[in-house]
Amino acid sequence: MTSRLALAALLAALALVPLGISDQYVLHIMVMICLNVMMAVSMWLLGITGLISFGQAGFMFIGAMTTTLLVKLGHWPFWVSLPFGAIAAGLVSIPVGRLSLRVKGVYFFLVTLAFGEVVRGVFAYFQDPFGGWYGIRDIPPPEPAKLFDTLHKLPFYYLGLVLTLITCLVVYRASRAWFGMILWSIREGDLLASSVGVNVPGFKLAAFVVAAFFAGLAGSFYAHYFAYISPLVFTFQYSVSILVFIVVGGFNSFAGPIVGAVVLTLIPELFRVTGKYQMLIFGLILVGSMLTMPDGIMGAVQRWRARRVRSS
Amino acid sequence: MTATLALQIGITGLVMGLIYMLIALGVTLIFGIMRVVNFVHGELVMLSAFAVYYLSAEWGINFWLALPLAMLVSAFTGILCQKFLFRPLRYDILNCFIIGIGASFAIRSGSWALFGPEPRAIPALVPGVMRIGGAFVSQQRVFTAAVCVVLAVALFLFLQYTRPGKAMRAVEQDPEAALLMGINIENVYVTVFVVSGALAAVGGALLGMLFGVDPEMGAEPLLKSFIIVQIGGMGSILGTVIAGLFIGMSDSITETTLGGELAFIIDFAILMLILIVRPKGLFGYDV
Amino acid sequence: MALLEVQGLTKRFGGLVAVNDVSLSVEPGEIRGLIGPNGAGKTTLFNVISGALKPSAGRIRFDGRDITGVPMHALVRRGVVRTFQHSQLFPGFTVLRNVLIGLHLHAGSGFLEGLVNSPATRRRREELEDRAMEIVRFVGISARAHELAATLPHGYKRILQVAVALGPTPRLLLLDEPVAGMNHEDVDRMMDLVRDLREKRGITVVLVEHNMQAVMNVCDRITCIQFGRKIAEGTPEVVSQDPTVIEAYLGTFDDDDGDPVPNMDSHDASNVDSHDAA
Repeated sequence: MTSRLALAALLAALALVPLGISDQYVLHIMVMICLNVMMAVSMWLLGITGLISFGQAGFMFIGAMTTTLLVKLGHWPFWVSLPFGAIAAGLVSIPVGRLSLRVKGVYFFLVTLAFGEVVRGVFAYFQDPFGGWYGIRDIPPPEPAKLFDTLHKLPFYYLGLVLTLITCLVVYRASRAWFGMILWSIREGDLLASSVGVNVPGFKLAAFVVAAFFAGLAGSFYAHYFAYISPLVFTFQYSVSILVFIVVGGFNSFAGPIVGAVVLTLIPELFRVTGKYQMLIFGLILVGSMLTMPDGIMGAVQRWRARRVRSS
Repeated sequence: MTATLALQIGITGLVMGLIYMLIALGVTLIFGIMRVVNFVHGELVMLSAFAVYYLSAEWGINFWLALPLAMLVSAFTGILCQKFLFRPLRYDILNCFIIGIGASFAIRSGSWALFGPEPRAIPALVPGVMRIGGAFVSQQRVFTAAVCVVLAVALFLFLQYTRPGKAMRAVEQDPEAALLMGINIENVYVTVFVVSGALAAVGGALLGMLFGVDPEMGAEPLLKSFIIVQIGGMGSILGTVIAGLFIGMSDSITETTLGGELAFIIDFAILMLILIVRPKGLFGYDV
Repeated sequence: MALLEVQGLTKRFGGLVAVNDVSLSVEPGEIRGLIGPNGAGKTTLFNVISGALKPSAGRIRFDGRDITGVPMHALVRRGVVRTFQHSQLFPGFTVLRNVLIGLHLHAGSGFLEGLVNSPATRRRREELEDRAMEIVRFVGISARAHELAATLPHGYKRILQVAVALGPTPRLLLLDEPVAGMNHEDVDRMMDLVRDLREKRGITVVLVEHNMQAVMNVCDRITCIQFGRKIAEGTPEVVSQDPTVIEAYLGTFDDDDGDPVPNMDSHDASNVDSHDAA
């Protein structure tokens, strides 16, 4: 019951506290946290099966590009094109998943890595309609234009918060439900799972598609928030950052990716490091946490709690 | 397409393929023996290119002295990774892959901070152009190709006939049996990193002479290496040689006909096709 | 009509013929033993029948329907379930949850089931947990139902493996060396369990086993395989007297005490690795 109360308090804080924040920079950071949490949580679902995709930025790019083209060229309203970004990423992930899931372990990492780079390569190569290396600017904000004014981040924050909560709710329920139990069983022993009737490739593919879908959704939101997308944004480095969120937060619990994404979005901002040097920090944090906290922050917290219970 | 153009494409492809092969050999060697995908390999290429640049271009040390020093730097960095990154994780394949990415990013951004963004070049060792058939080729490229071939042959002889080479092959085939035979596996791992690091250093020097030196220069050869090693089959020397030449050739053709930016996409398509037919690559292992 | 019918089954790995033109048929309610020296091809035969490998030639029929080349997870739905030689479990799950995986699939749970935490979902979860508990009780390890599978002693792990396989409600159970590495007492328990599978659940059982005493005690008929070929078949009495069978075992076991089928009467042969049970 206390955990329910804590959750309610957290949600209330997430909804109300930003009303008192007038600093647009802080709100911007909070929107970034939303994006990173969406990406981390959705990849965590795939991670349950023991797989890691290094192509999540590619799916995010596909989502962003889809909604951008629909709104800019097709003049669709934002609210209609938003889900289409996610759907497009999900659709692309089906053949990509079928092919890349034929290979295992590290080979899967490398194939997804290559996939992400190819998405960038294709969008960068074709100036028309993808904008080439310069990307696409002036992507319209969501309707109504009066509310979503690029100078005022608050409405964007609420939109991002809602999308993040939807992502978290779906992934959390899926991980606790029957579907998630099967995914865990695949990680525990895929041969045994298939011997009692689990369609292992099918479930892996399903998790892959769900992860791509939400990456596409995050990409859609990204495009309209920043009003600008380019191949320089959705890089392999970003895919790795998502992995770092999960590794640092901890793979074994749902809170892990969320904690990791929040902490690691804040740290570079606190130290005001950007661009190339951000990857220096990330690289060091990744190496350090793998060597010192194999189960991430959440694992360390759980061990600390267990020790406290035992000693009291 | 004229015969001259075809020859030109062929020679370019051969030279690039040989460099990729040289770098990918280091990746495949470590994978074959330790089952570790060394993501830091590209940074070894980059660091040694910088080492050669500073030693030879800035401080005026003879190239043939600078190169072995760079090989030492690279081998030493490799051993550091082995001792402080991969061994603590007990060579677990997935964790080593991830930590390697972290280390690689840290080294790369660290190099940006240290060396700055301005482009540098290692002066070509053999300037000038020569004519092969109807095609003009810079002598530097001919030299590059020759070095790669010599090193690949040397690696083969090393593995085949020397004691440490034989120990490496023994560990590759059956680590437990090798242990029982009294082979010190940790020592073998160190040897592997030394050899692989040395190959990366030569690759870095050659690339630096052809295309210049910058902190990002390790990224592309590393990705190419992964594609090559996967096509050839992880851990297979023969597969790496064949796939390296194949990718070099295909890149050269793509660059001339469709433009350089598509080369990577074509590589990926080839990789996908091969993995559909043979999920373990041409000569691969089970992982 | 036979429940399982294997006709002319052959499996090649490159140049090696692991299973060579084997035919056999198992009647409903039968307990069939599959014996043969190490490397005779028994496990490969299991792998092909259970759909883990595709045969090079031959046909497999189950309950009158052709199941040749049907993948393992799909075969489970038709009632053919197997266990593995080495303790394959979900080590990080509790005993109950180990059983639940197969049960759920059999109960037809879809991708989306349980996404909404409704009363119906909870009721169904409880119902399935009851059924899993019933299976755990049936195999006799209910006292440890909430422990992690990884922490069980060896004998319990092997029994849990059978319980996991019962989740999908099999009609034919393929057991790969169920008593390997067990001590004497655990072997008896396992054999009682195998009999119970037939008597109380009507499950037909095919088992590969090296412990001859166990095989002879529990099986109705025995098929002996050597070099991938069937060399004998019949009741335990007939097979144990069969000269080709005796020769097959003499040819592989270096036993100088003159025992015609060395492994058959000795308990210790199967007890070698029972020390790691705890």
